[in-house]
Amino acid sequence: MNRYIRYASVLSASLLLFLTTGCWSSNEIEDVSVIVGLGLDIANESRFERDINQQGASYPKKKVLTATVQIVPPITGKNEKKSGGSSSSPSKAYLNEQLTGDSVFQIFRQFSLRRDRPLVAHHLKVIVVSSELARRYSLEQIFDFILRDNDIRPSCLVVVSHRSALEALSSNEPGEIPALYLMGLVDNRYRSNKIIPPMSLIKLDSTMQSGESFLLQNVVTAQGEHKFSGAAIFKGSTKKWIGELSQYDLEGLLWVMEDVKGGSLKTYAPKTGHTVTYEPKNSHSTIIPKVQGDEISFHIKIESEGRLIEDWSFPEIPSSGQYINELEQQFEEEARKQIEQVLNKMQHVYHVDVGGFGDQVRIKHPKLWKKVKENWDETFSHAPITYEVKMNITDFGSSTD
Amino acid sequence: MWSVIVSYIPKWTIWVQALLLVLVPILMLALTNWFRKSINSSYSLKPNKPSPPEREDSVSPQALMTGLYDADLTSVRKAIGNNGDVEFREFTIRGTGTRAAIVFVDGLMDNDLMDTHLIRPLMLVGIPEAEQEHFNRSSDTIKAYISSQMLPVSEIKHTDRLLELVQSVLAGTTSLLVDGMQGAFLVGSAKGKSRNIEEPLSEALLRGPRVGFTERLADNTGLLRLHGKNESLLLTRFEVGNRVKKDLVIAYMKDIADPKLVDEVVTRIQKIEIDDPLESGYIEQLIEENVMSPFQQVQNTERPDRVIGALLEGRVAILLDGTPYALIVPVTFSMLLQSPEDYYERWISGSFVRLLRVLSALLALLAPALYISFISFHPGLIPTKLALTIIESRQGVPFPSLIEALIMEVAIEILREAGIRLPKPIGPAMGIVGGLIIGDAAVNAGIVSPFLVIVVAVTAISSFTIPVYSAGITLRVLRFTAMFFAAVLGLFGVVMFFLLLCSHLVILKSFGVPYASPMVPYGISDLKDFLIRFPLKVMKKRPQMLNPKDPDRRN
Repeated sequence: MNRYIRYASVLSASLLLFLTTGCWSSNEIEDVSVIVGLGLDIANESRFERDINQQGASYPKKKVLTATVQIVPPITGKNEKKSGGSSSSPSKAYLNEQLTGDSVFQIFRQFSLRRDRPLVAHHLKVIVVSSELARRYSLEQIFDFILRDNDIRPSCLVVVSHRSALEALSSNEPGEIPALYLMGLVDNRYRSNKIIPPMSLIKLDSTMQSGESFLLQNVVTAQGEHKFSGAAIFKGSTKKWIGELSQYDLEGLLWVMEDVKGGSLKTYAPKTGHTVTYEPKNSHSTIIPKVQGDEISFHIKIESEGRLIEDWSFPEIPSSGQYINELEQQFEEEARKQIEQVLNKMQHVYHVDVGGFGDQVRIKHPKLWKKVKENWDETFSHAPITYEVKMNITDFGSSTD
Repeated sequence: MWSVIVSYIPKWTIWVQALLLVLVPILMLALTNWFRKSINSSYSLKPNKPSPPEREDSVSPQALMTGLYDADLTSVRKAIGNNGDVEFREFTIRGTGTRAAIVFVDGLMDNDLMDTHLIRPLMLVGIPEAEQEHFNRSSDTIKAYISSQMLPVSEIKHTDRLLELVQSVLAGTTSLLVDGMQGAFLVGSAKGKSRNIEEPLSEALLRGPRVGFTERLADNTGLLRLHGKNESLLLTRFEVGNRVKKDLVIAYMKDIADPKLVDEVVTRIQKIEIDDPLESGYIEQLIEENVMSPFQQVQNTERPDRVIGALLEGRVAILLDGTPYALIVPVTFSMLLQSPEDYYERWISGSFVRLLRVLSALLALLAPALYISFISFHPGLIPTKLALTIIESRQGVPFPSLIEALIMEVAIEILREAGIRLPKPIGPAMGIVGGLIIGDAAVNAGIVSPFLVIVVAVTAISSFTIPVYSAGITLRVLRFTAMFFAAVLGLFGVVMFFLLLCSHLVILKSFGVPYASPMVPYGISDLKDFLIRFPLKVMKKRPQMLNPKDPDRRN
């Protein structure tokens, strides 16, 4: 008897669960608009918006920013029958929709008046902020909704576009989805030391909370094509865009910040002026903060192993130990130059620490950090920095000389 | 006024829920009680059952033969009734002139045997003159003489009771009545019609004996004896069926099987009350513990090697006359995913195939449910590129995913059912039609999406890999339940369904052995033969969950 009461209660409980649940209603996957990219620009109304505004189709708003959502696949609602792989015209694989307003969330909801299928941001991969917008408004303001929203995954990548974000989310290549393209570029980090570690939403959030200055990967665009180039610098106190580091700077910075796993280091041979290139395979850098009284200084130790991957010297010079030593020094010199340049930019041009020097102080000297963290960027700008670079050529590729 | 009052009443849904909260448990309770009652009343043993009314022409069990030849013959004729297939052959025994008759059913007995070993000695050879005096003395001497000197047949019995005579004759025995002798001889002449021993249809193996049970009990027990030559193999005979008696044999190893288990099986067999157990499926359903469970608590098999394997583990097998399906008890869930081939192949490949089967069982159970919940509730959980493909492929599909999946799943179930019932020459035609429907046509017609076709195909193929056919049916039924759960609550529903299923499996028992063992309750020694089949050298113990008398496989 007892058993039957138990059955009955289990069954009735599950029945009630069905009734009380909030997620009765499903939403079929083809009835939603999946957005994979989001672009944020300064207000720039599209023609469509201007036209409808003339018909009185507007609501009270300031023109602050224009949001671009990239919807894939671009279903027009006409249900065109696809005839195999050979479609008639190479059409775009995405659809960019733009609306202007002063609240990101309101703009998102405003899309409901515009698109027959609701936007879902589960698959949002890339958020592109234009440098223009980031210069005017703090990233904390721009990203507030995005960080609060539950739909958007914290793994979403954030990049800055040199020109407008709409451009960065447009492409001339048929069949290409720009958002996924940008996402894919990040995976090339093992091949290039010009790509900073991807800044995801969650990392961005924590970085902004900590008050440090930080970098975001910069995207440049021309004729519907894109390239990562350098990085945008954001000041920790304001979270605003203050400038850019070039590719060359970034290489120098990555030697300091990261354990470089790939890329190339090119220089010219001392006597002949021929091109020689080094491929770092394994490198290790340590930033050592030194404290004397209230004076903070840094010493950077960089050790790298890699291979001599290209040597234009003619006539060919056999890879003797002495020659290799010479080249090693040459490469060290080159790396030192890169580092010097970026340190100069950080300390004397922009007065920010985006290289993780503050982190080291916080870890090694927590008490001191409490005193200096309020005004860290300024303190950093005056800190003397020394560095030593050690390059080891361990390998000459498959060349036989 | 009214609107004011209404505004103070909580939303109507709350009242409905409150009502349900009270009503549903009561209803469930009533329902389960009713079920229990109806189950108990139909099969349980009732001590004071009224005996069936006596028919006028029936033979009373106590009726004895008189010993008067003519009177006996008449009463036999009367008892058998007007049956055209019963033959009465009268003759005189050579040498003495004594009248005799044999009674037999044409078609059930071996005519050749009777002609050469019964009729010939009595009619042609007869009794030599020197011995005739023996013959004329008394009923007992006649009986002794005939049985010892004149009938060169192995199986011979003597009876005085009319009812026994009639019953044996109807079962294929030949009865011999002799003038002046009390009672009659029953000469074993029954020749059961049986087919050849063939490879079992329902459980095909690539490697393993190509031997399956047949419909004849004697053949089946013979197969068991042949394949399991061991003096401890015990075959206990029972009779089941109230109206039509069927022979039933319980087989077990007397020095391995747990005596409690054997007692339990015997008790349950003896409690069976049914007119006629047509097939072992009847027995299976009458002796199982939980009638409401979708899972079988008795395993059926056509393979003698599987039965022998089970007997050696300490299980009990039940064989019924008239069916090639033997039953094995107790059964655990893991057995349903095991095939004898696991043991015939090397242990690594055997284990791999077994793991594959577990995976495919999960797929067969959950694949469409997962499809529905991903498509309808959690598009964010699909990898982006796959999601894009699915969105494109689902454009123009007019149904929600549940309906879509139901259409295809029902279609494929119908196809399978039709495939079993179809006469052989039509089979290929149906395959073509089915292939077209399931394949391209449904997609081209825009009823389902191509992705679903893959899901359905994988599901169908997966459910074919389950070695026990009835377990496959169970999974097919549960698959539809899972689909409904998924359609209502998404992944949450699927998880809930799986939890409910697991909790059911955990409380289920088969002849006292927990169904989910050796996982629950945990038996570390038995895990050697669970998901991974360990090398035979390592499997030194019989399954502990069966509590065998002799726990070691090797002595």
